[in-house]
Amino acid sequence: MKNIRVGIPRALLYYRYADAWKTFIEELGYEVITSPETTAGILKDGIKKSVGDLCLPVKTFLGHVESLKDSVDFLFIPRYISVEHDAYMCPKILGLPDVVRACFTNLPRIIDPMFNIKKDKDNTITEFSRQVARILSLEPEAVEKSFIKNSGAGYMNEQEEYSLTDKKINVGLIGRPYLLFDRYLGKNLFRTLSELGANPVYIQPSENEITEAMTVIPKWVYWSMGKEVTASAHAFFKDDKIDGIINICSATCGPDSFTGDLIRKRLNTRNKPYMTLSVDEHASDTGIQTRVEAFVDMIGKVIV
Amino acid sequence: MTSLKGEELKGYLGIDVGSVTTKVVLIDYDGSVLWNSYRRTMGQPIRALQSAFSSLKKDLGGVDIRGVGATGSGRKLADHIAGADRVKNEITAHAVSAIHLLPNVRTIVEIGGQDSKLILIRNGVVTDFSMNTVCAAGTGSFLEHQAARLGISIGELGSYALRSASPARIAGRCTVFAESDMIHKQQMGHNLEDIVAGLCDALARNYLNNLARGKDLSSPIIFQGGVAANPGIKAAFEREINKEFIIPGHYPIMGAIGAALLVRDTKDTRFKGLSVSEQRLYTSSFYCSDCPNTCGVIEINDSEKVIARWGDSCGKWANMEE
Amino acid sequence: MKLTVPHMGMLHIAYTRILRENGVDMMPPPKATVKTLNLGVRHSPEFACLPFKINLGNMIESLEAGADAILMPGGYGPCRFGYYGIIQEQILRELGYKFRMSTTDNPDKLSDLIDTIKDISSIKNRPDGYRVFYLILMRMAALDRALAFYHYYKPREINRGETDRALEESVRLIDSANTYVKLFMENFRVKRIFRDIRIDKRFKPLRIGVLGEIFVTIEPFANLDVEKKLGEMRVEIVRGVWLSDWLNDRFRFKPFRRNQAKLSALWAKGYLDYPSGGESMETVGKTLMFHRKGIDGILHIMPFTCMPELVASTIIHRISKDKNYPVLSMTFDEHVSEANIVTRLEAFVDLLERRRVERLSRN
Repeated sequence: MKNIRVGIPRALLYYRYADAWKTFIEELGYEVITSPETTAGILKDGIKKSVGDLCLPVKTFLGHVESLKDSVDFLFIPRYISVEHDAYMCPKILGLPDVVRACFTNLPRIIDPMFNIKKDKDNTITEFSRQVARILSLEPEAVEKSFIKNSGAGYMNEQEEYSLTDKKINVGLIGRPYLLFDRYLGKNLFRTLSELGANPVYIQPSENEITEAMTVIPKWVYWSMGKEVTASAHAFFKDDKIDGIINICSATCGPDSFTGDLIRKRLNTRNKPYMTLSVDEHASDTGIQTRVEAFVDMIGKVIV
Repeated sequence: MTSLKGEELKGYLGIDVGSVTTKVVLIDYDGSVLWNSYRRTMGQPIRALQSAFSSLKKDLGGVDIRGVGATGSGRKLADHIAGADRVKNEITAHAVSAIHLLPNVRTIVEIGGQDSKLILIRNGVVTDFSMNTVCAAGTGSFLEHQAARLGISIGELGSYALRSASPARIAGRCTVFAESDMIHKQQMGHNLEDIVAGLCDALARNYLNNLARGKDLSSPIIFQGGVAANPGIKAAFEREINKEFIIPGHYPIMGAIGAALLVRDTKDTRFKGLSVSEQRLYTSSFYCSDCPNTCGVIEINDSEKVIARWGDSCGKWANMEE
Repeated sequence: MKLTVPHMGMLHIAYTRILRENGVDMMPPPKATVKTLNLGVRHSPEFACLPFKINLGNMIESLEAGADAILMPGGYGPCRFGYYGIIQEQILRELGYKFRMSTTDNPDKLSDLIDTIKDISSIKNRPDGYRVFYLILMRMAALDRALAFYHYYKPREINRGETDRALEESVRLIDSANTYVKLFMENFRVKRIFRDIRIDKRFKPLRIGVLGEIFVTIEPFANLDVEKKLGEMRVEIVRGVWLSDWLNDRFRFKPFRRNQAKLSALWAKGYLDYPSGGESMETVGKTLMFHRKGIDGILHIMPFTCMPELVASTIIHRISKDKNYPVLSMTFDEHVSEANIVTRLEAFVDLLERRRVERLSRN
């Protein structure tokens, strides 16, 4: 019998949950197909499919859907509303399955279970699994068991480990994982910095670091990823070994327009070099290169 | 420039290949400008560079070039063609020359053909900077285009603006919308002076809103780049933030000067010589089809031989040995 | 303490007199002008949304005019609105203003609101707090009702400007009604004022459903007065978002009015299955509802970079394709030019007119 194939677009929350999702779906007995890494072609397809001023990561997501849709039997696009009690995902992620449906015709069936801790509380995983089971005609208990078993796996950073060194300039990188780790959208910042002789550093903030950062700012940030970005920034600004911080964000990102302001005004109390790199589909590689070079120069105080 | 033949001249060359203009400058060790050239790139940076070199040779005869610095968006190309000792981004280059000129400078406003930059300096060190992203509404090309549309030369733009009593308010995030709003204002019957002044205000406002948001623009402020030629823009800025803008004598070539200043300690230069101007150089390009990124790869050819390649994001072509 | 609250449509008319009579030194911001917008834009993050920038401009002008306390509703997402107050306070402090800022973090929680009213006014007990709060809500509803009359009568009026005068008069009457009884009486008078307008009974205007992000939709300054422009083109506006509905969904004071968010969710099923924040559900649900009701087309209004409405906008464009139903999306920010808006509105109205002629000739 031919395998039933489930497609996962390599964009947005993929960069957070990919490994958990993959093993979960494979364990249910399906073949998982992931779209390839983002390319100019994928982004172009996404732009063609989207209406109006949707942000760069969502357009990219649509491009990945386009590249998968004809070769899979199902698309896995869960609706992540909230993964913690005190924060939401951004509104565009809340509406993602509906946006995808609105932008395509002839889509394979979408597996769009809702993950909403704010509403379902302790029953979130049960509820999530029940919806997966309903769409795939499986036993809810088996689905739930498999999901719980695999939910520990996060996204394995495919880049090498980047840790602090004493010799080089350490540049802290903050930003949403789906920009930072998407080599195309993120303009390969890790490599660019290494080539300039600087050492890129990325951290996933811990619970404690998040809680601490949230006490420094006047109000708890209510977007999960915005909160993490803010917390990493806080950790980097405190760390003496970090010489400068680059915040990469999508130009029209709603939450980042506010957290960026908080970071700049509230967290950078020691006046460390800090730069926001905003990218959109027009951003030229030369422009990014120039900024990053100048930033590294600025940290190294390369002035005659 | 008069001939300085006789004792052979020593100097350092700075090359700034921008999207609209190509600047080449020769300085001595103290940073005084001995010779300079400012010409349009006209989409042919190699030609522009070569003709700058040949006029350098014509003007000065033999010259002992001790070091070469390249900057600007075409800095890589300049390096491949002329052989540069340092290839520096234009933000650093502009900062270097401004600090050299005015050691206590705190703010640099630079507006060129398609880029604009804001650089903040404290104690002779760059502490912050920003650069326009995609929009050209705050740059020289925009002004030039609009001047042409209004039927006045770019040189007259400033004097028109200064004669305006009440500048028109022109809205628009990008060139296209600003243009349509400008046409609308013309149709409503605003006079030319007010429209030109409105244009200058729009440029200054766009610059301040996009680049200077939340940044402390403290004096002394140096205003450089090609657009500094326009007194209307200077006046618009000064009106908007109420501080004096200082325009250096060499305002359009400050980037090139900065690049030259950076190579003053070069031991053995990689410079290929002014004879580069006589080589038959041409570029060609192709789209690599090995992956869906379809990067445009650019090649520089000297007669039959490929002397450099770049443009690919994976580096496979750039690193290929011929 | 001189208290100010940023503008939102006619809300200030609903509360100013009532709060003043109860010991609050209310000072609504000066009427928004280009200067307000410029001030807001200059000090806001570049990609903050338009309501944020106008609010900030209002605050700066109020502080300049002598206010020393700001009340700004807050919230907990997912739209950016809940975080406005925090960022705005930060910006204002940086500009050197001295003031007291209160951001009510749970604007949906009635008891918190009543406590806030008790805190700032001379009201001493909770029942009085409720009485005052619900009077404000009822006044808001009355203002919205007058505006709905305006939408209906404006395209049909025979003497140009009569409807505008009727609206002005109605607003004045409602503003003067400072008790429930008076408000009840004035509501009748308002109805009569509009009924007295001479209208062309045979004229059947085009009807355009106006939907979108609530602030930009109900604030004429933010949307360059599109409703007035449409009215002058003799188009009847069928508005799908009202501040009084938003309030009614939370505080239940109109017994015969359904919860609009829930109603919209029923309509939106299959297109938007979970609200993406803001008015996304209303926009999608009511587009489908207006289509069924035979409204000629939809004008969708949103601020540039508005997250919930971008989701809604994507979906209603699909609805437009599926149902062959005209939808015009307009994105507003400080860069929008009047000429551009007028041109698009006129073209849209022409298009709807042609479709109607075709439809009539087919039947």
